[in-house]
Amino acid sequence: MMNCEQVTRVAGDFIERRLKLRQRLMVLVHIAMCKGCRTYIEQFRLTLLALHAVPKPAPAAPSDALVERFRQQGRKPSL
Amino acid sequence: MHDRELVDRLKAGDEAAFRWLVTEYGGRLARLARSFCRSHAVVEEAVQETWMAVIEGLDGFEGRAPLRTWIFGILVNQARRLGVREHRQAQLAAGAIHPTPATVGNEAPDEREPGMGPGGMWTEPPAPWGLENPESALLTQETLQVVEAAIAGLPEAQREVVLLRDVEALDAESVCNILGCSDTNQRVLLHRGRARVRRALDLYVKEGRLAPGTSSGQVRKKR
Repeated sequence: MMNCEQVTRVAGDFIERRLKLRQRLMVLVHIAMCKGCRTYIEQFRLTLLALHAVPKPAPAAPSDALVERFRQQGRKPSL
Repeated sequence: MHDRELVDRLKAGDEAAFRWLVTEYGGRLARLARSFCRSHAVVEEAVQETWMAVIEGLDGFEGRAPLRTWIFGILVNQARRLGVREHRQAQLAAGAIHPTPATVGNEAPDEREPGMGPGGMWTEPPAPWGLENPESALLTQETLQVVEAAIAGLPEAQREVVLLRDVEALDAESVCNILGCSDTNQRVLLHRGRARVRRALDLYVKEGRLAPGTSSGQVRKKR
């Protein structure tokens, strides 16, 4: 039987379906009876959703010097 | 653009492809480098050094790993090296006798969830957020800024793993290779980082800014 702390520690693996069947069933049995862990898992799921949605930083064009450096490298004969 | 096509174009000296690569990845590399280096100038230096190494290493890049995994790996090496140098210089300037690297030993040995009793059962279980439409409420610009701030506030090792795994969506094996850590360690760091971000969101919701029925305009009431 898993306790609440053990359930919280595998929350990410449970949500991402990385747990082995036996462990998955243990979590399911636990959260069927434990409201606190059900809430925790749901909030963890939403947290992962938000993490995946963090926007990319604003794009920034390369400096002329860097592009020039790329150009020079292209001219070198490869080994 | 597909990896293969991009790599071929880069190797052929296609300038447009290189511009695209730097534009797409520059900010993302800087975001990760901030975990290793304090000052803006050193972060910029790490990114520049990374592009130099990419330019020089392209011919030898065989595509066994995805291009971005390779680039992030270079960045971590450069940023770590420059971060250690930056830290040492700061310590020398401050008159410290035994300089130590910045990224060691900032990890708490155990991180227990608040409200978790010593017996491993909730003494104070988390309260539901009670959002009417949680997905759309959480994906607003304002909430994502809270998430970004929470990531920035993570201990360095956790931040690196969360950025690479969850924000950049790299797989566990690549992240272990890039950071040079074991799979077990990576999993622990990822979980602790994610758990801290959940707590930050929890606080944010409890402060009422995401409460159901508020007229903030950020929360959509209709489906």
